[in-house]
Amino acid sequence: MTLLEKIKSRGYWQTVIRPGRFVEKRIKDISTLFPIIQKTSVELRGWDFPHIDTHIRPKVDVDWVGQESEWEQFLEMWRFYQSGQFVDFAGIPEDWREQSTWLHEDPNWKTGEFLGIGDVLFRFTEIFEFAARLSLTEAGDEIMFIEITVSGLAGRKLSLDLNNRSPMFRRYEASLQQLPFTIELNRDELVARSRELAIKPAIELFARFGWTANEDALRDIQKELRKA
Amino acid sequence: MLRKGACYVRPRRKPETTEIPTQEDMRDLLDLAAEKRLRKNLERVSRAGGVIIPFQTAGRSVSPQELFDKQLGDIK
Repeated sequence: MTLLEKIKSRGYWQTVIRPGRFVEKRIKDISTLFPIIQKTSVELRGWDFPHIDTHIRPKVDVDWVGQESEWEQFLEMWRFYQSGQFVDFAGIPEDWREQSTWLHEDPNWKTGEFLGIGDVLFRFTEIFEFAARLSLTEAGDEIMFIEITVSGLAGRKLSLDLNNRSPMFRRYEASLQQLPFTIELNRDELVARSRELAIKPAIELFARFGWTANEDALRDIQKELRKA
Repeated sequence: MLRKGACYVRPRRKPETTEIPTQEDMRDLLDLAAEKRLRKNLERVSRAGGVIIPFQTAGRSVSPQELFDKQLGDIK
């Protein structure tokens, strides 16, 4: 089983970021692709997006570079093309808890059972922040396209994975299997409002669980992240 | 006896080599030459890594989305 197949076997995030126009060799020198990702990768909460594994060299193909990494509960694969297109597949960390040696063991844990509110909001924030940074490199264009799909949702319940917050008293459960979110943005808006832009898709996702999230409360949670 | 500057062909009517006898034969000759040149050009494009788009789809513009999706292949 490839890592991508393994990631897709449980809940996962799929992210595509690309410039508005297709130019096959937008980035002429393939050797500059990996440095661009190193420079634009975002670390807001102790784990970067996309994850750069410094222990392995990136795979270099005909017109893309990429990495596959699996450490503890973090499974991820990404590719970055000379056209400026970026694609990332990442497992929902909670689903791979049994691979973690440092998370507390929970005898009642089952894969695919929960989706953390904080993890959702933070992941959307990381994606938009990364897209904003990418738009300012050779890979960027005046219009940027972002597509984020969260898969493996059916039967999953929202959980509170944040400290110092009141617990959720109701059960919020999803019945749909996956939720795609796409948006086309002007580069200036993306750069100026990257954090704010993460709020809407998070609210859309929470709504599929039957939970109406408060925008201000989500902005408040975002403050727990480091400044980009 | 060959005449300098003349163009000789093998007409369809009988097995011989003559100067181009009629205007129709001249048109046939030009069409044949054009076809041979086109075939050579297509082979040259193909050898250089170019792709010949079939006539039916040539007029349709391909969207950026399609091109980007094609690039991702089956990983998506």
